[in-house]
Amino acid sequence: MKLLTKTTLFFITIALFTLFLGGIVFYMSFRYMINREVKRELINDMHQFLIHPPAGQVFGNDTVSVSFPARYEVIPVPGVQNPHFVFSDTLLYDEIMHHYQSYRTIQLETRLNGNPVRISISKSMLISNELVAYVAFITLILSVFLLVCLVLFNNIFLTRIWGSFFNSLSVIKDFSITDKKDIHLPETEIAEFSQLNQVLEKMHSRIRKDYDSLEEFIENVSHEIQTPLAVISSKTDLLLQDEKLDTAGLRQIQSIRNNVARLSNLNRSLILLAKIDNHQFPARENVEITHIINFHLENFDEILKAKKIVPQCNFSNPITVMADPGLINIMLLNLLKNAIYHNIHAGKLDVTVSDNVLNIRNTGKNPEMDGEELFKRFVKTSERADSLGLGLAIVKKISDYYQYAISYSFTDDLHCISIRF
Amino acid sequence: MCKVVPMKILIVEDETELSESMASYLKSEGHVCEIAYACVPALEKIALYEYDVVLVDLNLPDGNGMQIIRELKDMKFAGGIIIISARDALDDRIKGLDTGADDYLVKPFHLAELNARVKSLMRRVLYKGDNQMVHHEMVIIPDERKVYVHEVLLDLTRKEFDMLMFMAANKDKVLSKEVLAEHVWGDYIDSADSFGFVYAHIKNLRRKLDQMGVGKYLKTVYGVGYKFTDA
Repeated sequence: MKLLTKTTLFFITIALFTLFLGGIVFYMSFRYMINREVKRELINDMHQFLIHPPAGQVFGNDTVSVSFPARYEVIPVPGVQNPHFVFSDTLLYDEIMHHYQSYRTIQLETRLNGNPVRISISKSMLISNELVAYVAFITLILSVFLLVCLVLFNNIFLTRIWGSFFNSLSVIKDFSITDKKDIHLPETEIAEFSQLNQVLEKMHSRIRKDYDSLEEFIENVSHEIQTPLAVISSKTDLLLQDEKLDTAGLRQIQSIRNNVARLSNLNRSLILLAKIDNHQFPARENVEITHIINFHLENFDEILKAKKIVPQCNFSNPITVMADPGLINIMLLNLLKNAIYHNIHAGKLDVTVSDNVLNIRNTGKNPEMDGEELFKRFVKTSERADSLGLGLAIVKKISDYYQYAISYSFTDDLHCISIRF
Repeated sequence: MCKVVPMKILIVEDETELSESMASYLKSEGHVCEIAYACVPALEKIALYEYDVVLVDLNLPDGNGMQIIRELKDMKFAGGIIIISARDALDDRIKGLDTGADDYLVKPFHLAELNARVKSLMRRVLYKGDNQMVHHEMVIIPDERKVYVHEVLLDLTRKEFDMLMFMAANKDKVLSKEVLAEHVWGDYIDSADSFGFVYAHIKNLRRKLDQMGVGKYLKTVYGVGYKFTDA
């Protein structure tokens, strides 16, 4: 969630909560005050009525409307039972407006001219209700206005105050460890942000230093290991030429030579994996997948013929990716190598490309492991124990590096590795 | 017999054992080799003497081998330059070739491969064009990738030609099947499969040579590989 959305939502929540609570309290107290006022007026009216009963008043069962806004009612009762003010709310029919209206009524049982009567005075609540509604409406308008102001203010506040923060953020976002540029964070007068920038710059230079030394270390290890291997291999090359050696001796040397080659390949593969991990392949060029597959298959030609495999290629469209050509080359080479060398004699090899998906299907021994297991390092089949078991690990690493989806399945006696570019 | 042209080769490599092995193999081919173990002595040597081929390691104790290549280019060096490096980073390779090197070998390499590269470089750089190799009744023309026997064109596949060429360049040397496989198929061959594969190709090559009445120069060294000889 964005900072702007988050703070706006936060402010709105707080504002709504406060306005809601405040509104209720305001409404209640306003209502209470009006009620109190009406009550007071009714009591006052009652006292006035008792002191100066209106002349020409007919007392009996008839209800006589005296005047608006108050209605007076005097009903004879058998006896005075409750000589106290009783308040109640009633709906009375308004003949002028032709609808019921809410009235507040005060009742008092007393003796009027010696007769026990119940006097009711009702007062319309219309004006006070309207007042409450009006005040509530004004409050609502104010609340909406406040909310709009809050959002606007938040927007301005964020761009003004957090501007330098966002600038730094965009600089860091563009930061790539592989390009050797320094980062320049914009100056800011806010202490916390300038501190943040300082920390970021310090961190950046430390990461850069660590990365450079790691890169150097990898290069050095590679160099340090390859050099003695080169010495051993050159010595065995010379020994092979020694005419005093018999077949058994030559075979021993041959075995040393082969193992040196294996060690060297292992070293090279591990360095490649480490380099991909360290993002040391920043190159982005247009690479055409089908083109490289054709190139590789051409080079595999004799090997395919020797294994009596006829590759079936079905490219419905070319796939072009933006990537390091070297890595894509290695990935496709390893995939095809895997499909060819783990194939059976006169087996099948189908390479299909459709939309953005490359499928490589081949016959071979039944799988000895699960799909995911296949892509792990140093996993090899029992039959080919001398292989390094790194080929598919490298394929997986490269496809992960470029976020291609890779999967393995075994259906209809065909191993299938598919990559979605 | 291939034309033996003794060349002066400078090897710039700080690893004594390796540079001596290289010198020893190249000397057995009839070349004259000198070794420099660092940048400074190498720069002194190229200033004083003429060389046909310079082999340069990139990681040297007192600097980068690229420095030597630049110096050679500045003095309009007419010979060939091969980089020998433990780094196989694509970047280094391109940078090296851009600076003016002619070839790039990644350590560890086979001495036979080095020898073949030196010979091919010699043909490319020193004797542009006229550079056929004559081996008794066989005439190999590398640029055209053709082999003539008694002036009749030998019908060879690309890989068979590569194999023959490689063996002819390393005449009288024992070449293991792995070396042959690696030279001819590079990354495409799987070491586990190379034995039968090289065997099949050698068999075909021999049959074709036999049919043309070429002498049995292609010898089997039991348990190891093959050897191309004079008789």
